[in-house]
Amino acid sequence: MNQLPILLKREFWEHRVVFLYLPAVISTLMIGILILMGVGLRFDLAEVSVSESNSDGSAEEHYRLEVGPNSSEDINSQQTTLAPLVSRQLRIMSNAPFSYKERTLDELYASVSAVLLFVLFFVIVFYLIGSLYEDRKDRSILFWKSLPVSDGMTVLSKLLTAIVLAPVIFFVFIVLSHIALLLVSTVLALGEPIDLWDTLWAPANLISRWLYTAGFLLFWVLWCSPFTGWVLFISAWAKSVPLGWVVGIPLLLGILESVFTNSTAVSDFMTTHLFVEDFRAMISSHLPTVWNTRALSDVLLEVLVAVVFGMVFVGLAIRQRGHADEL
Amino acid sequence: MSELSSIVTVDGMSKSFGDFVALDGVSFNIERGAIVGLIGPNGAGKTTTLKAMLGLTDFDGDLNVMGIDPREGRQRIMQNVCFISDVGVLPRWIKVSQVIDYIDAVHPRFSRERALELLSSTDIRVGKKVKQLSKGMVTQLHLSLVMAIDADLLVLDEPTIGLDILYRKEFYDRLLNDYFNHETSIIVSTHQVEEIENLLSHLLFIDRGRIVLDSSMDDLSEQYRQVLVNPDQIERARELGPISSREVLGKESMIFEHVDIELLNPLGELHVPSVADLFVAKIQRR
Repeated sequence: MNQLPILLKREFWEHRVVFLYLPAVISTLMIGILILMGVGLRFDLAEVSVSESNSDGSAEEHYRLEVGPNSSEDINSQQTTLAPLVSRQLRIMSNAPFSYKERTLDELYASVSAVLLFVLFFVIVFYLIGSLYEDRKDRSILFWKSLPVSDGMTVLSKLLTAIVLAPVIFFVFIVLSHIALLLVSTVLALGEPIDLWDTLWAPANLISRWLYTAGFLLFWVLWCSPFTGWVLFISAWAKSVPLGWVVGIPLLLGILESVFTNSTAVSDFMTTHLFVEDFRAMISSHLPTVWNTRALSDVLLEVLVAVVFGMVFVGLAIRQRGHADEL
Repeated sequence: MSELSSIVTVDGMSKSFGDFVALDGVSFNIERGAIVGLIGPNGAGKTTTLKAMLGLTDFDGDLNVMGIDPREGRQRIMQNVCFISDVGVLPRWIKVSQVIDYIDAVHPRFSRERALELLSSTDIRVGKKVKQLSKGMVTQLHLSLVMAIDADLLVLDEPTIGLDILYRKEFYDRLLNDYFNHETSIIVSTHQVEEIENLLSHLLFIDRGRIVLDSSMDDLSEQYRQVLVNPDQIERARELGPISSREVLGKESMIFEHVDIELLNPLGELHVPSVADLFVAKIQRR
């Protein structure tokens, strides 16, 4: 009998607010704000100008967007003109080189991804911290353990919720937000004398952006597995303040290392595998620097080491869960 | 007391929390089809004993539940054993329909139809969350879920603590009338002896981590006698070594253990002691 689907469902039921409502609300808010900005810009306080560049200036400076009363055009003219900033920006965009279009749209789409991925990180960490702790605290562990589900299966379901279920849901919201953004910008641009495909659709690089983000989420999960396993273990082990132990022990280790040795290997390993260093790469279509600056075999080896560390901690978490009792 | 008919055998089970000895060499058997009362004051080791049987806590010594050591096979034991702890261990966030879906998916011996049928006789609606239910309803829910599982052993740890008398009575009535079938064994711990006295087939007293009485209810009436001693017989009665003696309505009431009935008859009026009186006598004596 495969219990995994129902165990994952159980996690989703319990954490519906952070796994579903939170990304939904954040996505909606972001899209809503961007729509309001797009519409609002047509009527208020913003002007665009194409400034002259220095002789050796880069291409982008030709198309700098200036917002506010310092605009080079006459301020009074704003109140009477209905020439919408959006339409001017669009016209500028449509005439700009393709790389400029890519760069401009990247800021828009990448910031949407960044917000969701940033939230995802905290959702995962706080989910993991509570995953094997909260039911001991509220004593419901006595109910869960009274059912024929092994401790290994239980821990595995928590792990998979953190590294598969939550990232997949957030990824779906990233994709949906991007599509919404594309559609909204298209609607705002309707009627303008521009090539919609060439100005708004093609330079967004959505497909490759999604592939990179998905690939990078996978990389992130593997790269950070020592941290994931560590938090799971502390969640299963701590008798109180799991967050304190999660942070405190590595911090203490780092301090001891710096006091008693000349090495920073332990601290480096811990800080590197907490966050992916190159967060930017996750949200755009760049390769992370770790791929560019080091040999592939090097990176893969370190991923392997990270996964082994992670698995050791998960094993310890399962063992600990076997002895776990109400608090 | 053959090994074959025993569903649980406990032999020399001990456990300490630091300096505190929670269990001190506990040994007993549970027969198939028995309804065992595990009676003891607070902190006597009732919960620890029951949790050890379910693989929910570590211990030293030998313990065997249907051929399985709970330390190694909690998951296998839980296929055949159900557990209700005191009120409030159902997760508060879960909906009734969700908890039914969950047990249905993980427990091979659970009947969804039976659970829904049992719930339909209560005020509990499947769309409600546990935290929206009263204490008594949560216990009703848990009992309904457990009764829908075809188990060999039901372990109840103070299942009615904190409930009002109506729910307490209903709980045990349902347990006995709708569930008990002489094949399932039940072990129930409580310190409210009077409530379950009439359902039990076997009695275990536990005090400070030791079993101080282990007897079937039938044997109990053979071994223990309560005598309302006639005033002129008090000296004689004391010589027979009662395990307890107290004044009731101006008469001396004594409880004797393993004393020949022929010797007791002349002393006064003979009764079978209530479990509560026996409990007080056995526990005070230590």
